[in-house]
Amino acid sequence: MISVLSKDECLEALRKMLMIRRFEEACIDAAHENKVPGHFHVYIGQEATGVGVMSTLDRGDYVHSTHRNHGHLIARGADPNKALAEILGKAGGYAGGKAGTLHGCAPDLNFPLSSGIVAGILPIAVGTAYGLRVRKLPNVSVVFFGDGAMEEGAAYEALNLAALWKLPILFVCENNTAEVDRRPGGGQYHAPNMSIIELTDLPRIMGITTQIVDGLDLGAVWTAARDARNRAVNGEGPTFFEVRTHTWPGGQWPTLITGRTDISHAWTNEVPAQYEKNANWFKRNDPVLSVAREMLKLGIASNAEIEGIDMRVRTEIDSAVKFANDSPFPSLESALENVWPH
Amino acid sequence: MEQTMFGEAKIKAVGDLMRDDERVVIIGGAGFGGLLHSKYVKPLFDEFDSRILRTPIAELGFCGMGIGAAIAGLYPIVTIGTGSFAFEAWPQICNEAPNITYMSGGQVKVPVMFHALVGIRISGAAQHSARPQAMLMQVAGLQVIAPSRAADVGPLLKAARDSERPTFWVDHSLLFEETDLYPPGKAPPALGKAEVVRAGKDVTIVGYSIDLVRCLKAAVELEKEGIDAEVIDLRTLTPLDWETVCESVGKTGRLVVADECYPSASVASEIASIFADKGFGLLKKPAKRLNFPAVPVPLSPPLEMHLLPTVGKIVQAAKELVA
Repeated sequence: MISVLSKDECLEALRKMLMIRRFEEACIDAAHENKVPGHFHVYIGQEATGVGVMSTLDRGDYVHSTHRNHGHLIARGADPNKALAEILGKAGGYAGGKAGTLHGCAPDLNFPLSSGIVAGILPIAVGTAYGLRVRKLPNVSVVFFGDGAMEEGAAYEALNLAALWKLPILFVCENNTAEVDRRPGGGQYHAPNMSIIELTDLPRIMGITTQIVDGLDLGAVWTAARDARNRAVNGEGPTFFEVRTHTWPGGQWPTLITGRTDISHAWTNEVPAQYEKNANWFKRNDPVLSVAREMLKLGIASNAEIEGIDMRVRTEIDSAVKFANDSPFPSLESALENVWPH
Repeated sequence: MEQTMFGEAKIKAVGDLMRDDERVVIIGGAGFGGLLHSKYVKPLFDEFDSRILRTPIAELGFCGMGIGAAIAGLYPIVTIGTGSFAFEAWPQICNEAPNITYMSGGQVKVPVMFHALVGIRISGAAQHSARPQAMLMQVAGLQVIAPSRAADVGPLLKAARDSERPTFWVDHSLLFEETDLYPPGKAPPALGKAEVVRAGKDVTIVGYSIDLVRCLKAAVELEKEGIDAEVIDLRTLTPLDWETVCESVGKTGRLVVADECYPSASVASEIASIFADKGFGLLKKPAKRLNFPAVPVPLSPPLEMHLLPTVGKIVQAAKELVA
């Protein structure tokens, strides 16, 4: 429930979630115009996770991500102009076009380079947590990764190292295949490639606090992250979240199967005919619409206020698109810079 | 001159760095000398107990931790132990650490040092005798240091720390008890700068780490036979100082390279390749490359010795070139 958040926090959270949604839609548009070098991974359907967790963090905390990092960057407060320019491989991007979509970063926000290798970022995140411990800083390391990372040995080693020394780290496993792989008839969830029944079983037996969180419930994510951060800072060790999202449209790259989000769905509940087969997603599983509906229900914002937020976000993303398109490609000289003199 | 063992110099240098710089921590309990030399390492570990993270057997995990700790403001020296174990951490060493600074447009520094005891250590057999340094030269963004002389250890360690680059420091397993046969050069060692350890006019002999010790012992033998060898210690493999090698061969016209790596895409082949382009025409005779032949390392001591680039083989190669 979003009632755990103040009115201002709710409005800011919705703004960030819409910012992610509009940013990802802009990426898909750019891909259809053949402007995105390489393949990319959108965060649509998972906005409440990144925004919920990030809303509880401090400036000095480290945030680590994977190939699916766009939403995490925006939720952390990254500049959408530089983030989008980076995805297009432009000089105006965060990394001058050397990183692109797979390796999003915002170093000024303690968001170092994302790793495009499944589970590759987990040991690194444990390392920043250790660095914070050694330097006696009251901060945490937060690492986002998908359910697939749990199939890698690196994840096991990272969990063990963090548990062994009770390091200040939040493992946020975003399961975006929860419903696809759930076996409704069997009554139990299991990912098809894991021998464990629940993803939380492995960290739990290692002594890590675990929690399964509904990825539609911004308030639940926010509360869980805030409590985990407090425990971590107090020396009580890491927490592992499995955040579940449902019927997830983000995995259909480069086509967005749910189309461009119309924020008025939040109160009209009308699903356009061409998206009828995804009606459940619009009604129940879209975190942006869910949060907007909750805010309306609780009287936190009116239809007009929500439309106003969306309008401002769209204006901001439109100018990010313009900035990214107008930004030149990097100078050829820069190809040999940033390692050592050649 | 005072005779310091290479390994003692190494441990002293690490201690000096830790006293001087509180950001320096050691990740990994393997130490710097292996089991055989643990008594030398113990005082260091005792003095800095709280700054040594004794890790589980999880090279992939703790090498990644070293990267993260570096990002978070520490200077971690990650001790992998036996060089072959670096393969367990290959994804972090080769595909995470070296990319981060470049791909962040220079904004995220990764000042981490990975340390391993590499090489043919006598009866290590195939799984404990790796020489990963040539493979690591294929990793753009990774600095590879492989000194041979006690006098160079401290300055190179500081230089690596100051460079803020991810670095793989290679010590040969058999180097620990070696002492410097020649006095240190006048200029302090620098990254990417080879050193002419022994000046000579007849033949250039190039090595690094334990192979350099073998080269110098060969030069002493050659001197007895009236052959004046110039011996070059590469010291750093990335960046590689081709100019010093070129200059020497310009003088001698003859080249022997000793390198425990396998022949293909090796340190020796890289040195020899200089004379296919930059130094084209400087050789009067074909270069002699002494590598470990491309077979897994056998256990049996006579087989292993048969394949090693030994002092005798270096002497023989030089004599053939000068004859």
